Amino acid sequence: MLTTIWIVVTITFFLLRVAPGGPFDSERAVSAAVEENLLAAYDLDDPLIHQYGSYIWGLVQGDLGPSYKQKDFSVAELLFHGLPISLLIGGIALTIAVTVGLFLGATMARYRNQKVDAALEGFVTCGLALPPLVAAPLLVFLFSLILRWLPAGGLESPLHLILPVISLCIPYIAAFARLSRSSCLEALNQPFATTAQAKGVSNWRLLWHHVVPSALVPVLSFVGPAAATLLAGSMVVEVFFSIPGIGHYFVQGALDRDYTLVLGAVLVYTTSILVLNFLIDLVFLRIDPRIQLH
Amino acid sequence: MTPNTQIGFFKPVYVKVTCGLLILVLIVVVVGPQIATWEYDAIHWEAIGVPPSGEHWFGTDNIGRDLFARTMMGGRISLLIAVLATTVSFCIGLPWGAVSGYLGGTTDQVMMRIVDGMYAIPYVLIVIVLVVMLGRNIYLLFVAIGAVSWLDVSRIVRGQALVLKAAPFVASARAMGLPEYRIVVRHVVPNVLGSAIVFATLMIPSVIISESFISFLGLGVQEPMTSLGVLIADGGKNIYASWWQLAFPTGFLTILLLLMTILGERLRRMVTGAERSLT
Repeated sequence: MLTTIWIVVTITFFLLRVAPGGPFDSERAVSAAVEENLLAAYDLDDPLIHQYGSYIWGLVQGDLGPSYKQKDFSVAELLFHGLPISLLIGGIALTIAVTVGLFLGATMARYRNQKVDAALEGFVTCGLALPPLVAAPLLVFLFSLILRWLPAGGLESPLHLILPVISLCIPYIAAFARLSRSSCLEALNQPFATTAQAKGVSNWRLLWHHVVPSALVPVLSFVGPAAATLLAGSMVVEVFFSIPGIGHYFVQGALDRDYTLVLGAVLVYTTSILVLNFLIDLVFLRIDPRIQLH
Repeated sequence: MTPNTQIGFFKPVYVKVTCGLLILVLIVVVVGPQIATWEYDAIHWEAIGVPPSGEHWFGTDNIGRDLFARTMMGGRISLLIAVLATTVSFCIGLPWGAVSGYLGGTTDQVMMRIVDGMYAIPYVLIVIVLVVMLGRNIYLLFVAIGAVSWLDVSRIVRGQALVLKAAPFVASARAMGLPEYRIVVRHVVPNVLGSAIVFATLMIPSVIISESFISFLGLGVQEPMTSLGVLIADGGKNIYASWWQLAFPTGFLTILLLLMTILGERLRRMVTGAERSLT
């Protein structure tokens, strides 16, 4: 895990530095002497390998460096402020996506090739075509402008969380629903399902006590990849609803060429994905005793 | 499991309608900017932020540019970048997958581990880092998107190449003493081309999403040129004052994505013959 983080950080570090231009380029050019002083103040005039060395050394001590553009703040402060917000929104969205998706998928499998299945299938296909970038404006129109039920931006109360979370989780509900449908169908065709049916287990019990638990592993193993793509959505949602999460700082850093901020955000993102994958592995151990960690 | 292409949403008649509508959208995008009365970047001082009317069908934005012309132009740019990015990913993924699948052994192992490694890093991070590195430029944008979306193509092609490797005509080509690169170029690649192209077409909606997403964040297409993502970002800033600035670009993108997704879904089912698919 540490190796992966190290590789990602190293690649990002050098990719960012290869490009010409820097954080102090602006439309109003500063004089050469000022720029020199600025670069010296942040040690940006050292050889690249020295900068890399001191960055990694700082990283080990938990220091992510200063932000070049958001003066008076260190990258760690900014990200520490944004992380809980982003984790909250992403976490709720992911949880809703898995549970609702699983429920829809199981229902579709139960009524396979009937009207219910076909209708839900239609919804799922539409859901897949509604990434947060599209869902967010549509929801704002409906709930903030026409119905005036929910606020369209900011983060002052739990109410402000509803629209961002919903617009973030729509395509993932669809993806999880489709995945659970096929893996429930697979489980339904296995001998144990037939046995349960033969001994008179009710349809409801068959589905939720026999089929769904055994269909859980493929569904949960999609959580990791889903979380990785959810990042993109969370950036859109944070920018669109003006929520000060990590995505907001990352985008700002990328626009300003604020190297340390971009690097810090990449680091936090990668770490959270890896931690999430690790947690899912632990859950696997609980739900399927046949799985062993090496 | 029978493929349920005959019921509900995927009845052939709906598919025909979807196809027709998509062609209509494409025609609109191609001729739209031409038939629009206004230029997409012309500023009309006398009409700043006016709602939709007979003169400006979709209204105008805050500096008085005609939104109908801008939406059409944005749709055109988004589609153009999507097609180009898909082509880039196709050009990287096809040879990568074909070589990896055909040669097999250690080469295959190394090449596929590289692909796995890239899968592990969230692709948005790579795209944004690439955009920061290469600068904000339309031409580099599709290269950046293409450079991260070739992974899927290469996996599909590799799978096909593995099957082809065992085919009699490849064995006879080898028996005739053809050099390996020639077998890959003349025998493997032409045979995987069909399914690779179908798969690449399926990728277009997700590439449109990536492009709009990056432009939305301000990292992609730059003013005065526009794309659907840029328009949605601008509209989002003014939703209370002028709803039309957000409504029309969003509506256009929604319709485009819905049509392409439904059609792609149908196509996928016809090709795989079943409903197996992830994501």
